[in-house]
Amino acid sequence: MNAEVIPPFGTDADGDKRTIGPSAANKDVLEMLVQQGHFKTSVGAFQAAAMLALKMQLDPHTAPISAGTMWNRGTVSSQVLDFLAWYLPTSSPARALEQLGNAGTAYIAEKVRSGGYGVTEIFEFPRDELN
Amino acid sequence: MQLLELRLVNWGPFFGEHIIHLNVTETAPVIVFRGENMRGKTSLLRAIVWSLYGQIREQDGRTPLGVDRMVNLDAALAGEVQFGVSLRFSHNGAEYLLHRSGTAWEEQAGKVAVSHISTDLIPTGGLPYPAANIPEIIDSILSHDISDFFFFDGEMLNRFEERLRDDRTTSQGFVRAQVERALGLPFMKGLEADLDAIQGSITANMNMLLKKEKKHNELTEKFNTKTDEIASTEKDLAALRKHDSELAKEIEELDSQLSKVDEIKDLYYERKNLELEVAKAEDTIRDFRDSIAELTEANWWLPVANVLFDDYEKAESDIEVAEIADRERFKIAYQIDLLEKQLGTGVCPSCGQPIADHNGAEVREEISKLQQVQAQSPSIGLEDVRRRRDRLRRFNNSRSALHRVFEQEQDLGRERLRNDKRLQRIRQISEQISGNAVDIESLERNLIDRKTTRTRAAGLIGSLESKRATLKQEINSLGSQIADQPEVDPTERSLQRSVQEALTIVGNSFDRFRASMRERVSTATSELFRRLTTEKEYSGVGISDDYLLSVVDDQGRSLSMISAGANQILTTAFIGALAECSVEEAPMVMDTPFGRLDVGHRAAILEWVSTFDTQVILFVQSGEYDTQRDSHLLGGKIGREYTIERMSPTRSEVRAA
Repeated sequence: MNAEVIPPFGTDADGDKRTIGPSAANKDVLEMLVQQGHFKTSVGAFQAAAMLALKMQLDPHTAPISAGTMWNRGTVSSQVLDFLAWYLPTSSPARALEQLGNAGTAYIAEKVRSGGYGVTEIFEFPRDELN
Repeated sequence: MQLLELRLVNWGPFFGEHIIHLNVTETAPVIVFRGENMRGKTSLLRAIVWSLYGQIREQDGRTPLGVDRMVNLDAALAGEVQFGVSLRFSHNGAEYLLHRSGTAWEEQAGKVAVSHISTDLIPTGGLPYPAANIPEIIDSILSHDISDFFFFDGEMLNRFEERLRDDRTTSQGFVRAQVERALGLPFMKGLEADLDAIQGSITANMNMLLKKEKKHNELTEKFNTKTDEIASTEKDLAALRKHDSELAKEIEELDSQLSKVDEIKDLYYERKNLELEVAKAEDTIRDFRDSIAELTEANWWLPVANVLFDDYEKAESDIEVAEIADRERFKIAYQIDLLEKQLGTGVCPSCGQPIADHNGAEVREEISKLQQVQAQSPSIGLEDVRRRRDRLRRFNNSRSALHRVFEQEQDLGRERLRNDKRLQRIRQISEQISGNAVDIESLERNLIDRKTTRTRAAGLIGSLESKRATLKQEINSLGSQIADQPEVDPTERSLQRSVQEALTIVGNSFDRFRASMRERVSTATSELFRRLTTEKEYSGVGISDDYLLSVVDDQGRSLSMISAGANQILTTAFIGALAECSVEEAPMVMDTPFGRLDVGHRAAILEWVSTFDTQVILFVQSGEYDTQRDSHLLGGKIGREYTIERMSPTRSEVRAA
């Protein structure tokens, strides 16, 4: 009989994370994004930040470390996790989301704190696509 | 009445003594005083009014102005001084000197106190009148009640115009009150009340006599009941009139307060409207923000949209390349297959001819070449690429979400910009009207409330008056029946009948005079309006039986809407007509009356003034009267012309021009 493999703390049997969270500094930035009316929830803002990191090819390993749990994997949009799993590809999309989200949030932090930017400027929405 | 000379002592900006001659002839009865603002034109008008009536009002025409405010400051600073006005005037061939003066001193910095105000009226060659009789004598020459038809300024014209433009009932009441003032009806009303009281007393005496003798009980009982009823009606009427007069005072006070904030009223309402717009815009901004937040939340991929769109396009192009390569590979495989069959059978599968041995080597070489091409052709997993394209298609199909976010953000930005401008304007206005704690809106609300209450009170007064009139008729009839009783003293009977007749005469005259005065004022207003108006579609003015003053067109129809200019001329014409109808001769003194009129109407008024053969005094400033341009309009009727020169902020001088 094979011995049961116990996954590391905070991860599922598939090796992905069960919970994710922003770094302490990023948490404030995400709350500001909601206060400024750019997003309805901070998890929504975090997901968008992850997408920005993806576009900007930010190195997820240099992202600020999570300061603890903020959302369960179920709180995050399953579409986002499926997308990351397929697109990157990765077998641990929640972990990838946490790293990308923190990298992206740190990238936009300065603009968000200044308070003078719209969501399209903060997240560098592709204006060229409008033409 | 004609003003002959005005003597000022330390009055307004006129330090020391100033004598201004005002006597004119019928052929040149116009006196023009020219002076810029703050020179003392209004002080001269106030000097005339104060000398005649001992009362003056502020610029708003309503608020009483203390005479201490008219004392020359330089003089008051010098210590205790005399100040005053002497007015020499003629009336009905006699000359009078009216002198009103007092003592003034500076009580505290910039504040003057006055005392010992005295008045003398001395007919030339006669003895001074007793001081107590002076108001009555002046009133008999030119009643204070109607003096503002003769001594007026631009503000008074504005006030009249406001009243005429007020709601229908208020405007009718105002016109009727002015016509009654011009006629002197208040005096007649007083006479009727006196006669009423006399008759009441006589009839009551006769009734007492009958009651004492216990005769004609039914008649006396009825008389007593009706007398009680009329007493109670009169009590109610008196209470209602008191209420009405209090309301009138409140309305006057509210009007006065509102006129003081006239300049900031527009700003106040502009700010209020802006505040409402800001509140509405904030809702719009909130809606935009919510909508944007919903879009960004639902379309989480928007930041990476361009990459996904590119990926989608690449997948589409990969599919195309893969399909071509697939077709090419199929073609090569088919060719190889044919060639291999040729080699195997020795017969060409197409034409069935045998293949020569030497050709076999060529076929094998051909197969080898085709196999090389086949090996080199790209091998793309078409199904994989199709699956990838299909996963990316949903992002590509949702490009509109990106458009909507951009559009809404632009709309949000524009709305914010507009709102910032509104907020900036609100701050500007708040700075401009800071220090003014008047709640204009509440004042206006109170004004409407008082006016509505007054209209209701007027309705109640009207019905009580008609009830009283019916009761009066019944009492008069009962009074006549009582007077007919043999027990009544013949002298009292005769007196009762005389008073009864007098009352009937006064009552009838009252209505007749008022109707005829309305007719006269209406005709005079219409004539004057036609002369002054520059708008030819108006044919005149009418005052209806219920005292509605309106401009009529050439078809004789009343016009509900007329231009602002026509309204100003209507006001001037109405005042001119009231003056013309009220007394035989009085000077017309106008202080800056043309400021609000256009060139055409100003010229028309000056031409009208040129038709006067009675004294007219005009106080004008350069903006409304220019000697070069306008003096010919007065048609050589200028008898005297003065300029008012400013020597210092507290001193002016009147000089013959």
